[in-house]
Amino acid sequence: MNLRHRPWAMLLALLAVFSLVAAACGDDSSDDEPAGSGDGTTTTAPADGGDDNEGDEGASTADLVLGGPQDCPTNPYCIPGLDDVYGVDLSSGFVPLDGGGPLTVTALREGEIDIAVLFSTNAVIAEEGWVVLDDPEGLINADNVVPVMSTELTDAYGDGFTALVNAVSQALDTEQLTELNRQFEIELIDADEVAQAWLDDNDLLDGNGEPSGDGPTIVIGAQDFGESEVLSQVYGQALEAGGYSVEYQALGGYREIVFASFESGDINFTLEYAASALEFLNEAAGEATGDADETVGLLQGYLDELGLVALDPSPAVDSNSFVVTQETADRYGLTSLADLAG
Amino acid sequence: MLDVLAQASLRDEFVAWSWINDRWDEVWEHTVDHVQLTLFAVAVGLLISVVLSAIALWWRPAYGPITWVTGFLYTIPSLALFAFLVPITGLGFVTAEIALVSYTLLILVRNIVAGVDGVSPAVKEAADAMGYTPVRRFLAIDLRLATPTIVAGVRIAAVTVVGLVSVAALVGEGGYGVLILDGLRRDFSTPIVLGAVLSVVLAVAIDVALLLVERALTPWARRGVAR
Repeated sequence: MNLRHRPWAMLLALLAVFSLVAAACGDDSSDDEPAGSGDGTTTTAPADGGDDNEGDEGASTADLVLGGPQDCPTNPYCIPGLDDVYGVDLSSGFVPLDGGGPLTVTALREGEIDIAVLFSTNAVIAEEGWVVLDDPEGLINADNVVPVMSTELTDAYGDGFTALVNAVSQALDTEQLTELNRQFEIELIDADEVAQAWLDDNDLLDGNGEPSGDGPTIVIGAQDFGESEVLSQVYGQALEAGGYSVEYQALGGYREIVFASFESGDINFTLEYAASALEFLNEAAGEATGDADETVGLLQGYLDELGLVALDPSPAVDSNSFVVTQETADRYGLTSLADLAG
Repeated sequence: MLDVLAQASLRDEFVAWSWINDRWDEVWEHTVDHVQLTLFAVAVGLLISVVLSAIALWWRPAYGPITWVTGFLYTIPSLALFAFLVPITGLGFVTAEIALVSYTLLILVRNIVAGVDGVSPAVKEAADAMGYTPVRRFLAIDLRLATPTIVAGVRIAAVTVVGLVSVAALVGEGGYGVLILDGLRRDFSTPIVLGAVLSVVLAVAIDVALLLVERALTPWARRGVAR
């Protein structure tokens, strides 16, 4: 039990940690190089592929490796959906990563996977010149941003409150949402500043009036990805500017925690995605459609049981999408999910 | 928009000091959170452990079950424990503390029991002979003489907790863990390094502080060394 440390031993430990961190950094930069050489091999591919592309397709697209969220093998809009709708079976080479986050992005960039499941509003897609595969058969549904909240809030604050929230939703569109993500995740501007600048540009910071009633503090839950944090700041600051008291709660997880936190009372407001929320609550029954209002209508049916209400969906859509690098697209002649079928 | 060029280069640096320099007040808030979460967990853990140890010392057969239970708690992965607690206790301080406290118990109970066991039977007998009641002897004699071993346990527990607090960022209370999560989410090394380095510095600082506490509490030990 003689654990008495000497100061220099602690310094040594500190140095050891620093060198570990530095080593990790070194690995990162050396990882970048294989990515470069990976580009090298893929650029040779079209050269030897050339006209043989058509012939190669059947054999090779089956070997493409898909990477995405953990639930992909069972999510009806991921691997099972690809199989049902397009007859594409990517289950054998699936790599479980994260929900459209840095792991998936890095894996695609470094060639560890060929097809990534990413959010369509992820600014990295344009930044890297990647290709989003078209979805002609409508596998992917209306994942419009939709504010979901406790009926406590709508009951207490009434029409002035819902009008303000709906005004924010209406002002936002997919292109702007992608731009907000770009500012946050690529330019590394803080989420609150990104949101403030956008609200200012859209005249949503001034003249939001006074709260339309007395009610509880609005606690906005943000899921564990950048866009959710940005969106909670966008809606939160608009409400703050309207005189409401607002708190922000990082949830550290995804949809499961959102609904658990509503139940426990930790949050009473969040920004959801219509189709994904519906398919979460109906246990992947496949009810979601490509129509936002219809999907939100169905979602409301499930929210009723939970004492929650969805307001108007925003025109901004952030759906899961299947993304490949330009090299992969060229090599296999991919423009749509249908091209993945042999 | 003039910021754009400056911002774009932030990711190129392993540690972007310009980013950190704009955020010292935020860093300070995380420091306060991290210290509070750590000290509260160790204090509550110590209180519970003293009670559990007293039970174990008073009635030996209880020691086995107490170490099984605290040992079981110790082996639960923190991530799983948080996931399990969130539906019950929600997000935030309480959930974070339940997990953090439960990780201190095994270390503390073992050290307290070992420390008290190590007190010379002659001293205990002398205290009994002087008319100390069992409770008073435990608090005034046994615990006091076991201080070096107990503080050694507290130091291990505190350093462990400083590291684990970062994981509590997943339940919305994480001190430096919030910085680390932000960096991971945006593939941005600066906040990750900042959070990790500050966490290590804090662990060392608390360890040194506890060492000084131990010295202050056990003047006789130093007299012994000097001789």
